[in-house]
Amino acid sequence: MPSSRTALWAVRLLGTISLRVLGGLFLLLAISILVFSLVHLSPGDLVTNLLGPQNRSEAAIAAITERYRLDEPPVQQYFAWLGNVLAGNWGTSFRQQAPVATIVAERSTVTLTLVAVAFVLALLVSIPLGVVAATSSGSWRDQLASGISVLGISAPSFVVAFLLMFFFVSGLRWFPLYGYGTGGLDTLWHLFLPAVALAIGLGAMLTKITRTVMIRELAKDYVTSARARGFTESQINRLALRNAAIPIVTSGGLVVTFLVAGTILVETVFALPGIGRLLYDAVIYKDLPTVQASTLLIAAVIVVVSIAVDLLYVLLDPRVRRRGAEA
Amino acid sequence: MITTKKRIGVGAAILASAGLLLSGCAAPTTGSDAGGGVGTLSLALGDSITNLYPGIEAGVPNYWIAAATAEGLVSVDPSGEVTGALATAWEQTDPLTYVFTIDDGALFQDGSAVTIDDIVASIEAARDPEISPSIITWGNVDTVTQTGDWEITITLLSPDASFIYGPSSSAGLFVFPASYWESAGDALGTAAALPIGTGPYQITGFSPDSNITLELSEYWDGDAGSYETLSFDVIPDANTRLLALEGGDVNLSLSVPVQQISEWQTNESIDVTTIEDRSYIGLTFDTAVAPFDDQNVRNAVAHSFDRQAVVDQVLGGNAEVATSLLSPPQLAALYSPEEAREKLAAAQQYGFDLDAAAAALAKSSVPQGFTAELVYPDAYPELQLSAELLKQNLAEIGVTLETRSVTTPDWFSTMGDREHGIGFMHYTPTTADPAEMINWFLGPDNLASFESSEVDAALTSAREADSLESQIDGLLEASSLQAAANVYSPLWWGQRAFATDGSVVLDGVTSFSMFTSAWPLQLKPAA
Repeated sequence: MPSSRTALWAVRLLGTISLRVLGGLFLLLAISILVFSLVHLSPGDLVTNLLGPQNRSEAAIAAITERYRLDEPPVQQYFAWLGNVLAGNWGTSFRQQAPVATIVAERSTVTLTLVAVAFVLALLVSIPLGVVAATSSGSWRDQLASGISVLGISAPSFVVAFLLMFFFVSGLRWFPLYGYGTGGLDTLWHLFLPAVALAIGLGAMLTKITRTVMIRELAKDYVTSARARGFTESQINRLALRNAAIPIVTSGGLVVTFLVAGTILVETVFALPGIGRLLYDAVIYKDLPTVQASTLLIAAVIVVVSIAVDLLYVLLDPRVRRRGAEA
Repeated sequence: MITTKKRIGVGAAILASAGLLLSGCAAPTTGSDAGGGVGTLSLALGDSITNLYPGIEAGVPNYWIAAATAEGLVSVDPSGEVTGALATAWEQTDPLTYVFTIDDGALFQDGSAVTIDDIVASIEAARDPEISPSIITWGNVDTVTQTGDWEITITLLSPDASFIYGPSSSAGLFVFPASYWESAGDALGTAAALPIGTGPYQITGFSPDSNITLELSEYWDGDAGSYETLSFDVIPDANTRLLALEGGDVNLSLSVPVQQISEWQTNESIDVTTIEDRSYIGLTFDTAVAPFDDQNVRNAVAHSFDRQAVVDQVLGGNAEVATSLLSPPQLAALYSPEEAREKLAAAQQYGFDLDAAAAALAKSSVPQGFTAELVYPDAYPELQLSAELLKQNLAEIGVTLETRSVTTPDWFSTMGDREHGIGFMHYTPTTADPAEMINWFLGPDNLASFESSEVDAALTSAREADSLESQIDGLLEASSLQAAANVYSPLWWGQRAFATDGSVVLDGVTSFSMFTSAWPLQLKPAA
């Protein structure tokens, strides 16, 4: 019965998601241990970072040591941190002396908005470009699209950022030079150029992927059959794109995670107070609570994206749903 | 000694150290026509600010903001002399006792009156290492007591001529209401608890690493500010700052990389100004690490550094070859610039001379040469180039110098680690105290592991001095003695550059006045 099959499929899907979430939680736990260890093993010491090289006051050193439990064994420090996190307390930033949860929430809003805008821009441009390149494979349009893609992949994001600034801010004065704006549309306006700087590399990759997958799909028998049955080119392209969507979505989900690394440079150039700059500074200053919260947030986003990609995979491919229900 | 608060106050002292450390300033309090600023001035900062209380985050920009918004008991005038801030007068009744008379009419930016309790609470907060881990100026203080309706008496553990520079907002005192200290808690200096001081500008907005907004305080009774609002944007990238200045997004950039000064100057719409900032850049030799325990080795390295080439070619002439741990502006209260330079250069010098370097090495315990590591902070490209230049020169006499880039905090951690025999020092005094740097460099447990009873005697003499002249004499003696031993090799005295879009001018800037007192009062619209 179709309804019982659907219910069975839903139960199996839920089970799969639960397993993935559980796996993700273990992954986050492992990352927290790894990051904690790396910060401890990295050169420098927190006391000098907080007090500077000049202040060797015993009272100040003792106060720092006690406050941050630096005299405790690292394992004990880690479990103290973990216990606080499980209780909902992410701690206080060593550097800023403000609650880490608040800091990371504010900063991640900037970065997630930036990444989201960049991702949407990349999708809007790269998929049509990849389809055009694939449908006119070997033509000048294909050559042009491929050339643009190679350029986009090769260009460092900070170079792209300065070129964009030069043309669209200093030259045309279409966009603001730096900053996050005052919220709403103003923020979107401020984030447009940084998002373009990020999207160019991502879009170039997606264009190449779309082109490759579309060429493969267009060479398949079902396309030949569709042509024989009198389908228009537009209908055929839609058909092929639907089948190509699975690898495109999967790849897109994976490459979007690379955007996080790119945000550090773009946030610096455009003076955006995002999580990339926060994480960089936190690592430099051995601000452990901030490093942990930032990396875990990024890792959590990657896990969620990964699960979302898997779900999309199921939704986009009816064969997977059928296999799931029949298994 | 009784000193009365001066009527026109623009005190200052800059100190910046290596991107993180100290600086301080004191503000003018009395004056005439207050208020009345117009418009907004947009300023760019290169370094981030994440906390507004310098006792927690003591970077140079933190002190700039504190200088504009808070006061201590004393301040510094443009010549570097101590002047009044919240104290209208003070008297040193004996070598260990200072009595301060407090201004009974001062107001915080929220309109409440400044009380003795507020000042004592602020001092106690500054002395508490848990609240103010970055403040180091109160270690020699024994007691702080209210001894009259408007009088505070501070006693020291031992005589210290430098003490008077400490209770200023360029060093270690930022007077906020007692209620603020009680209520701020862990939020001290954050956006959730904006500091309320007595300076000419009030902090009205703060977004860490992004923006700080100051507005002219209606309760400020000193000299009038020209701008109603100062909006500071943190723009970490120098190229973006330049574009912002060119495009009019920013009127004044407080940070211009010294190596990019000529590039910034090529734009006719931009005015770049440089001032001596009393910064010292030099090499530190740790005498506890072989082979730098051998003075011949230290001399060989010192002779191998081409200071003039670095000043001319790397720094574009925006620096001066240093001859001492002290710098000429620190002697400005006593000597003319020429006299100061002459006195400082009287110490033993180790000019660039590879033949002398080779001869010194030949006489050393390692005549065949040796290998050492020199790390440099990635935030200072000029130090990287200097390290590479020194590396090439040392290679010519048979010494292998391995250079490595590190982050600023990692560089700090190598200072005095007893592993690196040679290291860079980049230090800008925040206070006007001429002893600020020397007391650290030559005092107990110093970075060079240098011990000398003669130097100790000279420093004691400077500490116990009853006049600035005696203090300077002691410091010159100590500096000269260390030069003879060559444990710190001065390279250059630095300069700070700032740039405007032509719409604003900095009126009467000196080494001491800029950024360490209520410096925004010096900002005037261009005619």
